[in-house]
Amino acid sequence: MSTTIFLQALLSGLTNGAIYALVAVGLTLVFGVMRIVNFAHGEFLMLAMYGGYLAFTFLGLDPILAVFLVAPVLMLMGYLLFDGLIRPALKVPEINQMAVTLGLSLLLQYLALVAFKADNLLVTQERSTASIWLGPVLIQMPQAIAALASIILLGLFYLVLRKTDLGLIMRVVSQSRDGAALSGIDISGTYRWAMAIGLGTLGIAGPLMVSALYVNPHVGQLFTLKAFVIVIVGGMGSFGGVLIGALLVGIAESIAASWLTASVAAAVPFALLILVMLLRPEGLVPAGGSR
Amino acid sequence: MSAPQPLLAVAGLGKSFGGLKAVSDVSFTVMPGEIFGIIGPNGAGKTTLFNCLSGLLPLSAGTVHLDGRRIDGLRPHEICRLGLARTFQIVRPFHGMSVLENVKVAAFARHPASAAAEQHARLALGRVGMAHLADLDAERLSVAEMRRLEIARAIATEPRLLLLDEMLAGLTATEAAALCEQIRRINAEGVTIMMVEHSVPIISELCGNAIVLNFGEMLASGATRAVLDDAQVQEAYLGSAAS
Amino acid sequence: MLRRFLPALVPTMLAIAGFGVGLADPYFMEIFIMVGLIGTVAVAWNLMAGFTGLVSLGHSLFFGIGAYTVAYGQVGFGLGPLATWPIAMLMAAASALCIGLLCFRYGLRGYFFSIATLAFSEVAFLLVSATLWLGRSDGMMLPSSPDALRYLQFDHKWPYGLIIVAFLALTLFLSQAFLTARPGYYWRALRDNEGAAEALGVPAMRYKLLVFALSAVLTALGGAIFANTFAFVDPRSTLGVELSIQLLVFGIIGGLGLLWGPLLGAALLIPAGELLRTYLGSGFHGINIVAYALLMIVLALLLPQGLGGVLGARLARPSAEKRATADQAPAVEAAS
Repeated sequence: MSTTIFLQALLSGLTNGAIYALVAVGLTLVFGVMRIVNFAHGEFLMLAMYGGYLAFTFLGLDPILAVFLVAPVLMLMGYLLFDGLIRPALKVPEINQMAVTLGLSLLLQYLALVAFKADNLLVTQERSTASIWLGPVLIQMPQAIAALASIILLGLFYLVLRKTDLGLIMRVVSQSRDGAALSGIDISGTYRWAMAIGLGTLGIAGPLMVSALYVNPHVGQLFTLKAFVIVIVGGMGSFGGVLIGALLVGIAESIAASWLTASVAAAVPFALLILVMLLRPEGLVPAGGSR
Repeated sequence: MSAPQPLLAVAGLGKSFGGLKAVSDVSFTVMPGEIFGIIGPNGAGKTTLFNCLSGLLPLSAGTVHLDGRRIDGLRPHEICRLGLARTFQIVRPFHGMSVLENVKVAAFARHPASAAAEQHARLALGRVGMAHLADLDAERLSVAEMRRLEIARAIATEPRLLLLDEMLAGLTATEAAALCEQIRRINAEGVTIMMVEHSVPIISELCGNAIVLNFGEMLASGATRAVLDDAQVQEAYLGSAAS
Repeated sequence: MLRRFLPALVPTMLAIAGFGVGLADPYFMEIFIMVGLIGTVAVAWNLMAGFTGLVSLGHSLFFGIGAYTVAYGQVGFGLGPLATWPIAMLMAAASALCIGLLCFRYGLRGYFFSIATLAFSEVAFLLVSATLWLGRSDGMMLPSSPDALRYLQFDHKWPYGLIIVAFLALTLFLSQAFLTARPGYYWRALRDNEGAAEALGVPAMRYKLLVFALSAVLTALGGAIFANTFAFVDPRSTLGVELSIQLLVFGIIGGLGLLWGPLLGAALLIPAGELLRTYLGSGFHGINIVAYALLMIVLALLLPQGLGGVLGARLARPSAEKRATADQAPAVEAAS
């Protein structure tokens, strides 16, 4: 492989990785705060992508502006989802929780199929075909915008988590639900906010992604799986771990894609997961994570 | 024949979590047939010590020998099968199982066949006076009954050394007295016992020898009476408790 | 003895009755075959999920190993089921042991075990979809042969129904034998509290690997039977995540705490799905899955023990009363 091809793969791996990180970070937040894995996470990304597409097609909104419409809608969805589904799901065994969110994932996929059919849709504008040269390698404009927005958002997200009262409360709740309840923290309220922010990040990622990547009803499933891999590779629950995991997955995937068939390359994130499990059996899992 | 060999010999045992030392340099021996006490205030490292001995936590330093055989580094189930059983401070029976089934899980350690395991599980329940509760859903037991179930499970593994972790906490005086009697009876039947307990009167009544832990360090060891009279112990533990 | 195997015997009798109904009508036989096959695989899956607390979302991997071993064994080497079924089961056991060792050594449990198993099956799905000699995503046909019996090729569906009755009976009786002996007790103890179980002498790793291997072997046998029954395998229907999710759904709806729970789930949902498809027609592609998903969400929230759990509690009412009297016994003792 020549250096240029390698650098090109590295760059697109990094841009993809930044976007993956934004998708995975919402999943981690929800899992970290309420210990529930949302198997429908990717389906909300899919909805946000459709949101961006519809805003562009019917309102003529630029995807960057559509973010300001779609993100609040997704936050509201998270807010309502908590009270409608997640709060009751917290009372049933873990395996039933899994069935609930898996059911939601199927439900959203097939509702989308009924509504939008199975067509691949994409926002195409003037800048869609534009690209930027960075030395010997080039980056597509839509990808660049999405990656840049992801980086800004991840920074913001980190600040919220570290510097604000809400962030502090979320960190406390994720460490000890009982301890937080004893110190008078409104657990349900925190959960609701975690859900709203967790899906809200998708509301930002979705519209930006739909000008770089086709949306169809089943696009979310792949992202859910990748986000899971990223979260496990990155150590289950830490913000920094998600970043590292996402970049690793993004780079591994795009380097593999440059010299393997697409289908084999798609297996690379999972192979990476298996590799990490083989090589780091002692680590990455928090010691007290069992109970 | 030389002097009798200790059943349990702990030498220089240490355990730290990250940089924090939970237990450091603890050494003592337990002779066959005795009831051995571990005293210490909350957070002194008593439960950590038990977790190290039973193999649930790896040691950071030191060695543990059971009847002359080194057991540190073994898995908990191997240690159990070598004859060291323990109870847990937070009693939680296996969910969805009857009292008898809970004990049967333990009895399988010695009796692989289902019928034999069931028979020995019933015997163990009888030894703690719970034979009549065998078919009850284990989660419907009272706190005192759950403690006895916990002991029944442990003795069903047919241990030579039984580690009891705060079995009497939270029980009424009558319940505690009955349980003490049962502990004494199990000991008389040939099981060596090592117990963690808060209550000084109970320790001094049951245990011939004891050690005192404070902030993970061993303050004193020896005959229970002498240990309790130790000036350091008086100050560190009993003194502060009395004030 | 009879009492011990009653939970296996009754469903087997019902399955034989279902097979009898299927004899009357080929359409019924087809439904019976799907219910019996996938329902039995769900029973094998539930040995892990319901009884040991290891929720695999990657069981399609083992089903696919079974199906593809039969298909490639016949296409590539001319091997019949006599050779391919045992090979498939061995391969499934070996992969389960490898995956299990990896996951358990890594300390994966709960959700993360589920996701890791899902990842393994996804790798298999993607690789098979890209492998030319396995037919890529188009799948493989099992060619018909003049030596029909050797390759289990029949003109009618009912012989396959018979094979599936045998598969169902084998799985139920074998599972019940394990569940009522030491492994069953150890599995349930591990499901609830691994630390406490280990302290009571339960070798956690060994028994988790045992249940994983047993469940995988039975699942692979199911996949092998699938391949012979339909004479066709493809990645989507034998290796796809949809199959694994289906097992979970049958388990949740039928009841995870019962040997026959997942079978009940399959017996209710597969015919219901057929009805939905018949009445709504193919014009509403996807609407049947929407209904299916809604049912799954509602039942998972409202009936955590599943329909079988509710039914089982009804049947067990007399013994519950017995417990109530046992409860009063100590009080009487104390009073006297």
